[in-house]
Amino acid sequence: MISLTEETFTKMFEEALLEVLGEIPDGVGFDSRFSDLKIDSLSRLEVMTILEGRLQTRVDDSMLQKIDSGRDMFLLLTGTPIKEDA
Amino acid sequence: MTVEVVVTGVGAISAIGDDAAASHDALVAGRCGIQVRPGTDVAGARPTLQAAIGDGSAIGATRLEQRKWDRATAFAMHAARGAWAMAGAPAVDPERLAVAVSGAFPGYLSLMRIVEDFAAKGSFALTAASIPRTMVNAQAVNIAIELGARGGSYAPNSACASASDAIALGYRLIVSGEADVVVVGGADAPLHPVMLAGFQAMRALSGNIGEPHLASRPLDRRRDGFVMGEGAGVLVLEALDFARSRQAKPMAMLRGFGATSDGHHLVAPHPGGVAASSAMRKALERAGVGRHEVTAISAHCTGTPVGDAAESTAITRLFGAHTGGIAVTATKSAIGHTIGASGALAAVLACCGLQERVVAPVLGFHESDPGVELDIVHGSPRYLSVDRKQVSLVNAFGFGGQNVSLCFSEP
Repeated sequence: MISLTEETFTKMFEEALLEVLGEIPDGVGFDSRFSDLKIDSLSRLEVMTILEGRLQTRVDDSMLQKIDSGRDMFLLLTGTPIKEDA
Repeated sequence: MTVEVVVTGVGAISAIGDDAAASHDALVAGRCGIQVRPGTDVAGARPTLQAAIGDGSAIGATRLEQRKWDRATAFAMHAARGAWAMAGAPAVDPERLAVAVSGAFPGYLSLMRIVEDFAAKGSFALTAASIPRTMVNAQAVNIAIELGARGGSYAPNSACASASDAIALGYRLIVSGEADVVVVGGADAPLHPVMLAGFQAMRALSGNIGEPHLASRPLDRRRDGFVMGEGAGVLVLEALDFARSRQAKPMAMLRGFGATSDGHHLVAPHPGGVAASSAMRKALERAGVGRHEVTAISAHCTGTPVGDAAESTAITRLFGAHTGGIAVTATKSAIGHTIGASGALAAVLACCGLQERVVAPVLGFHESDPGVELDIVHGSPRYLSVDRKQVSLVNAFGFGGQNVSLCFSEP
């Protein structure tokens, strides 16, 4: 668990997304669902591993499948339970 | 029933051209892609000769693709897209579409980058795409994914004969009836200081820094080693009947291949060229082509004293009295030695040459070794007679004694 503001993480997330995609599509941001971004699972994992590298931490493998957005990543990294979709 | 194999599309990228046609035009025009570039040791103090492609912007890969592809994979994809478009994007049952594409050192640059990053930053330097970039079969599977090929994807590795083995495998898949269309060839991008230093340590590279345009001079008596290059060549092979059924116009026929092993030495060719000669003989036998019918040979000759001498001996051993009637060329004088891709690039360029009935000159060639009586094309391109069916052998030999000869002809 790490100490991180949402603002700081949002900036890091957008940088990681830019690094992987080359550009950030209109309307895509911190709360966008990866499943809506039309990027494959490897690219999603790329974003995650870039952020892990920047933050020098690892997300527990068992939690990875629950991540579907930048916010999910932020919550996981800061130790806040991710809300399951109804 | 005999199944015949035709070439309906070719694609390439090399130090002298961003596609097959541009590479062939530059080759025939005698353009040399070799330059002096930064050095091989840690301080960069020792300059090297390289036949490099540049920043690769001609490939036009997206950022997502760049992150997943090694430089060699990007070359292979670019060449495959060119070949597939030229073939008219055949509508083929996915289960009868296969891919056989490989280099000698697939993923090498990416692997070296990962090692360097790991040494500097530890495990966090690696990302999810690190390993996929280094996969030995990355070229073949990325092409298979893009084309939706489900008839098998293969990445044979046989050093500098890798791509020629891939082409031979494609031929086998079609002749055996397993596939209607096979995308074949290979790519390599080995221009890294460690790779160059390794070949320097073997005394395999030319040291003619002062005259880059004369550094790679296959078959010339003053040759002193090869110049490393990078690039890709890809061909679309089809069963002749399948090509006819879709009104595709073949640019060449792949008549056969021969593959042998020296069983002799880890890096030196057999000085008598026995197995290399056998590879050419088997290619002709499989093709049903007589020795007197061969009009051109694209030799593997890289410019090393020992290797070129062995291949000269192998050619003379097989063709005997017919040797003098065959126009011999060697692409590496212009595009360097592209290692595992060299056989595919030579095959692509030979197919272009068959279409235009021309054999490109060996740059920097002035004089043969004493006693060698090959008809080496030099000075200017050789335009061949329209009265005779053109048949070209394309040789590729690799460390370990890997010998592959491909036999192409006009359709």
